[in-house]
Amino acid sequence: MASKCDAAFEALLEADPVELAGRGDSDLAAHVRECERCGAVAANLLAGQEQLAAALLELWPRTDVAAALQSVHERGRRRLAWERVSRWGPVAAAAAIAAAMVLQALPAARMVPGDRVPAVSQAEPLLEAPSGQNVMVFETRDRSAKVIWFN
Amino acid sequence: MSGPARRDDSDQALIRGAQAGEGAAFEDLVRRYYGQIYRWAVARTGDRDEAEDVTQETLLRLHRHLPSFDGRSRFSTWLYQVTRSAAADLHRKRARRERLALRVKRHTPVAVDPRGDEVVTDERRASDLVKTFLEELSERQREVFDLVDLQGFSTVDVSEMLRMEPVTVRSHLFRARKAIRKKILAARPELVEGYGQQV
Repeated sequence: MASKCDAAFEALLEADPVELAGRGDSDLAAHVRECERCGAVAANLLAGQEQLAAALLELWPRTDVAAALQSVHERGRRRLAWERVSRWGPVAAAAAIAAAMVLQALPAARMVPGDRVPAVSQAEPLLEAPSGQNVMVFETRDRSAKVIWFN
Repeated sequence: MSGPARRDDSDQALIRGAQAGEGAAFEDLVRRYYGQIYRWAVARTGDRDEAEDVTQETLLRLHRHLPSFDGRSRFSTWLYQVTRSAAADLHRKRARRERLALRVKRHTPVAVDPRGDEVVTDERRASDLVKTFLEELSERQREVFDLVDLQGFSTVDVSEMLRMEPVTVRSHLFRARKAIRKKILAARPELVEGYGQQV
């Protein structure tokens, strides 16, 4: 009997809770039902686990749920705003760079107030990027200036 | 196992509502899972303060990613994955911050809990108990033990939740049970007297 109890003791340390409760038709469950000593060990283990489960259930966040929800909504709004900035920011930057390039290419030195800015000479683009690309290049009357169009 | 499964069934209307942008449905869903997320986080991190942050981050991710939940897995399984991922990311951030804090030591004022002393004392007792039992387990052992033995998920469910082979889940579970049960029995030495191999 002692060796059976020793083996049962080892098994109890890893057994499913239902076996600790002596339920089911496994050898261990049957032994727990029959042996008072092993039954007491099993009951103690089960009670300990139940106490642990109950303790875990008692734990609750210090932040109450309403405050947590409010924080979620606020952070969600901030994230949305940031996403808008990060989505359109590069487009705005590209447009600014393109504008700067055009202005730099203009013959500023020869221009005096009242001069007309050289107009685009052709309605048709000189170079059209392949499908899926979004760059076009135009030539102006002033041969030193080209217009690069980002769409 | 029937517990978590039943709750999943009754979540469907709330999930659909929240996905359609109904604020009230989202809030009800959060109320339903708030404590659960926190307890998952406690079991995962072993630290209540860290668990608070994980819970908050999980809610934010839930808000952001709920529209992409396609219902192929159970909601609780999916939400657990979100919680785990938030815990892992925050843990990395926290570790980085702690490394920095070691370089620049600062005085931090102690936070006062706004709730009554009695509630705090009960929770402290519970918290100490949880800590005593769980602190020596590995992160995986804590997670598996909590999900299977304390929350009633099957080892198959848990293997899906943790993306782990069922045999690995069982191995973590057995190690966790053994460590915890030895602690339980250590408080009652008279019960184990006479056994060949004592605790």
